[in-house]
Amino acid sequence: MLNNLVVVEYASLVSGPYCARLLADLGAEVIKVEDPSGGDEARRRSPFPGDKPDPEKSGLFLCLNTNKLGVTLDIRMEPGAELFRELLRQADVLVENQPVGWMEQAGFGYDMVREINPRLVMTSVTPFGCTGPYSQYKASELTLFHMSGIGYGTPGRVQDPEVEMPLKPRATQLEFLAGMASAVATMLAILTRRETGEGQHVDVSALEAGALVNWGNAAQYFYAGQNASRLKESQSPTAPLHILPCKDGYVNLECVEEDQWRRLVDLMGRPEWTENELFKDGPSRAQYWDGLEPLLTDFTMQWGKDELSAACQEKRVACTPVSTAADLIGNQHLQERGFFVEMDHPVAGNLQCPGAPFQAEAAPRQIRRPAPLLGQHNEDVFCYRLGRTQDDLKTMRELHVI
Amino acid sequence: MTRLPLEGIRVFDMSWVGAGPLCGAFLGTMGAEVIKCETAQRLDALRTLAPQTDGVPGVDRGGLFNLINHNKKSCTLNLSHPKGVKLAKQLIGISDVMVESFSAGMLAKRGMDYPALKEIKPDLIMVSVSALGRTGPWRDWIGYGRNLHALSGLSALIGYPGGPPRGLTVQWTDTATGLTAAFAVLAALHHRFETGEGQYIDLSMTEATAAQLIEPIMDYEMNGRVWECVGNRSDLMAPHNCYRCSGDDKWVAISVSTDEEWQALCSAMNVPELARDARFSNIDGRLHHQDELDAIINDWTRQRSQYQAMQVLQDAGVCAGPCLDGESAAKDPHLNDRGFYPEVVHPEMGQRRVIGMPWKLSGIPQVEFRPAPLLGEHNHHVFGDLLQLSTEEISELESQKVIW
Repeated sequence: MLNNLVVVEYASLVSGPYCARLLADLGAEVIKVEDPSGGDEARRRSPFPGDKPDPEKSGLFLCLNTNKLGVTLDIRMEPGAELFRELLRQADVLVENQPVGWMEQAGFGYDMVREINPRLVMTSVTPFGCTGPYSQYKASELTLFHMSGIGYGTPGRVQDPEVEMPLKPRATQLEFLAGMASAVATMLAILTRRETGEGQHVDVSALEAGALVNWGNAAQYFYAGQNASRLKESQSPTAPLHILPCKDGYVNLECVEEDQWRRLVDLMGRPEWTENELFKDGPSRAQYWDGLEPLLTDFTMQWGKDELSAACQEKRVACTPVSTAADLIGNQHLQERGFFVEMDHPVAGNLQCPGAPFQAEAAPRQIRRPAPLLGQHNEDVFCYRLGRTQDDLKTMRELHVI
Repeated sequence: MTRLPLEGIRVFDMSWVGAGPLCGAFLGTMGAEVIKCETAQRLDALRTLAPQTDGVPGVDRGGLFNLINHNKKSCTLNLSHPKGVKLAKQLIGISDVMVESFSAGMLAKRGMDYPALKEIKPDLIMVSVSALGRTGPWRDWIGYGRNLHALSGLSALIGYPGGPPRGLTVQWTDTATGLTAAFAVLAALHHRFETGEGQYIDLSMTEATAAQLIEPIMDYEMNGRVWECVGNRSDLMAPHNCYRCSGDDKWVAISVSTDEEWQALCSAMNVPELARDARFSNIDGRLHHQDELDAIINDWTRQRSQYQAMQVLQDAGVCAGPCLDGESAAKDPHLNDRGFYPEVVHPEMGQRRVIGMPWKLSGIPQVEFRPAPLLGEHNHHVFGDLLQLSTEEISELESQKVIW
């Protein structure tokens, strides 16, 4: 779908590389430019096979950088900077996630990049965005997640707010969301260029990508003047709407409509307690959840999570397993849909990882090439494309430019 | 003259609730003409869900609805009437993109599945948003947001150390899917400009969420390890947690990634003996003694507001930020400075805020935000101007509950 786009990526860890991978998955040619001193920081991030760090075996790196070419280049000194300029002259998109101001100092701020190639779209994804009072602040995925407002919905209502602090998911989900937002914004700029012939600067804020998720709580405040609380007294509107334990894990069980509750009661064999006046409707079940939960748990504990989900779904009751990574990889539904793609990596071997996040008719999910080894395509890119000689390459290697 | 990216693109939006409508809001705000196809027979749930503006109920008073349906038009069509189906097909025939989130089989029954619509509009881009996708053994499963958080693997990653999965109550999968749908539409538009071809896009909310869970999936793939809940903690950094501040349920998030930052944190908290404490001098020690560390930091943060704590720590070069809730995020100076919650004037709800977009394009210095449409507000534009029906024909169709 994006076969005619050339993307230069100068990014590390998750947000920028994920953006470029989304473009690469749909056919764009992505040239990933890494610093020769060790490359993308993700190469040093776990997981590694057997927990043994190896810059060519990080599961995070391998999965985020499939379908890309990889070169090494120190863009802060000549002749590296000149090679980078030449790459940008041939490119449609530059994706970067350096700290705010870093690209300017390196001579590649947007004003300078526009001089090099006025048609280039430059996408900068940063923690807070390039402007605003926090733009120079330090950030981590933890602080961004909690600043975005999501943490009061993770895990939502708590028993004891003094010890149960707001949580974030293990892993770096906010950075992935920022990567997706960057891909959307990049495509907006590419489509604009069809009409104007000009590129532009795209400023993506990871904090705001997170704040998007918080729209439910934002609405409570803007339209009812209420601040959604984590305190237990603020009951959920109905029940069950909960995670419950099973023989082999957990399910998420929701009866949003009364019909669904009645069908669940049928599945449970209409035990006597369901006749109790306290459980007559959703709001009442929510109010007496403390009494209802152990009764429902007695039922769910007799089942496996997939088995119970299937039985509920048969009756059109919204029950799903709480999947672990093992469940996802073993999931027949996802496997049949080709959600996982396989890579054959020269160092890390055969691995499967999630492919593109949707099935598009014009771009089947596939890995055209595994993630690049550090500097794997230096010769392809610098010699065959940019006309450097083998001797030039040798000199640059000695100077640590590549 | 500002050129919006999607000027001249028409989107027929038959989706509802969260994911599809968010996608439509992005496209509409970026210049597409987004026509939301609704019906009084089965309203978009967000029109009637709480919060209703200022507690007064009405189909045009839904706060959630206004928040994510800005920059759209609304027409009403009853698809259980054959004439309604016919009009919908005519509108799809003059649209570039169609987005839908009906339950499985609903469109096929009405002759409106992709193969049928492709006959009407050969280069149509059609996006189906569903819980699990339109193929595969579980394609007919139903699921609300939290069901899909669970199924996608996200819920299992949220919980206190060693405890059960606690999941989440915010609209993560709707949001991730809304962004993903917008990306799919834009990439498909690019493809159509280049080749003249439309296409069908099958978007599973479960997959849009699970595709971003690369770290736990790869750890299982490489090491057979299933992740347990660890609260806010990290394998790479310590301290790395939320700490209690002054005020009702207020917290600040702090993470320390280097020994230098650790020293800076000790100075900022003004406890020099901590900086010399051998237990905490390197990352292994800090990871090993997290409980002690968290208790010490909590003692310091408790005496400060979350913004004070952030300010002192950021000034010292320590990564820290307040844990915001709905109200404090709405008031946050940075988000407001960037215009993340733009204001619109809605004919019924009045001056209200909506959700912005997490990007700024240098080519669009000022984005115009328009309020969500009233139910059927644009029927005369859609059926009169676009389909050339006369006022009498429209009234007739209204009385037959076709335009309804």
